[in-house]
Amino acid sequence: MSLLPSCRGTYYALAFSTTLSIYVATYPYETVALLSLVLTILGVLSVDYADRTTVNQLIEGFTICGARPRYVLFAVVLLTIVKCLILSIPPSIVLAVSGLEEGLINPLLAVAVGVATALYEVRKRYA
Amino acid sequence: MIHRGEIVGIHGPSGAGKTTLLKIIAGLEKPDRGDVIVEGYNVCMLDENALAMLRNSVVGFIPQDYGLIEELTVIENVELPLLLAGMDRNERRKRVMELLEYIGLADKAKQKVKYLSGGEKQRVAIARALSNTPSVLLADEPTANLDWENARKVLELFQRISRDFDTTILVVSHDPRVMEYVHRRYELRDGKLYPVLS
Repeated sequence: MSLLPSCRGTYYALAFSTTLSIYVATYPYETVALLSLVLTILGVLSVDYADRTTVNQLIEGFTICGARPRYVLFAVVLLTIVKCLILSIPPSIVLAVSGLEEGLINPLLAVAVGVATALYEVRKRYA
Repeated sequence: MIHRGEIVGIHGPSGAGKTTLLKIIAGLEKPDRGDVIVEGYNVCMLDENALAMLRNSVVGFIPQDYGLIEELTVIENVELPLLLAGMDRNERRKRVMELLEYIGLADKAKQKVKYLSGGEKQRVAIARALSNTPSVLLADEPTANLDWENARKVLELFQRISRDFDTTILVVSHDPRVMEYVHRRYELRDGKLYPVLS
């Protein structure tokens, strides 16, 4: 089974966020680090929204097939983590290479936001 | 009471509660009151883990929108219940290919589900529901998204399954033509089931 994100929106968001990071990193503003954090959150949320169908299919499909709730949670969280890391690591590297080492925490933030939305989706199913 | 190997049809207008009834039997929803006994298990008394085991081995459920994971291949969708049951890879693949041969989709095994037609998706959903040889198969509006030619093929497949595997099949539909393929039929009206004598 492939864990790579299937939604084209994920890769559009990746291209957008990486390009924007390059643009932002070339300007010596004090708010660049904060701006990159905001962009990371927005990127993860937009990808989550765009790829909601796949996550819901995963939850429904696993549940119908008899997966225990913890397995459903594991599958959804794993998919989300892979997606968030793909989205956040390249821009983070761009920022770090440009001298903005604060950008290295972006993957952690992306995973945190992504996992929170994934937990919310799974919780809705078992509420 | 529904006996082993029977095909029972439940029809009624939209909003009558047909889907809800199936979901209650599958343990996907809880009833307000009463008991549901499936193969000796009182579904209403089971916790989520026990319900998961029931869906994995006793009850196969086919939702109206097929419930497939579109980005996975046909094989990956059909083998999911077997993977969850802990079956090893070689045995899983052998069982899945047998099922795909049975339903006539062996040539599409490695294709992603999103590229299949509605009729093919329906048959994949049926194969997945059958993979752990459940005693009961629940089908929610199995012909709703199909033209009558494909619908007929699906209903004939249900008849074959009932005969070959002695599986009890419960089909809900608002289409009265579906009821010609069942052994017994009921009408769901105002929250109650009324037997329909043929």
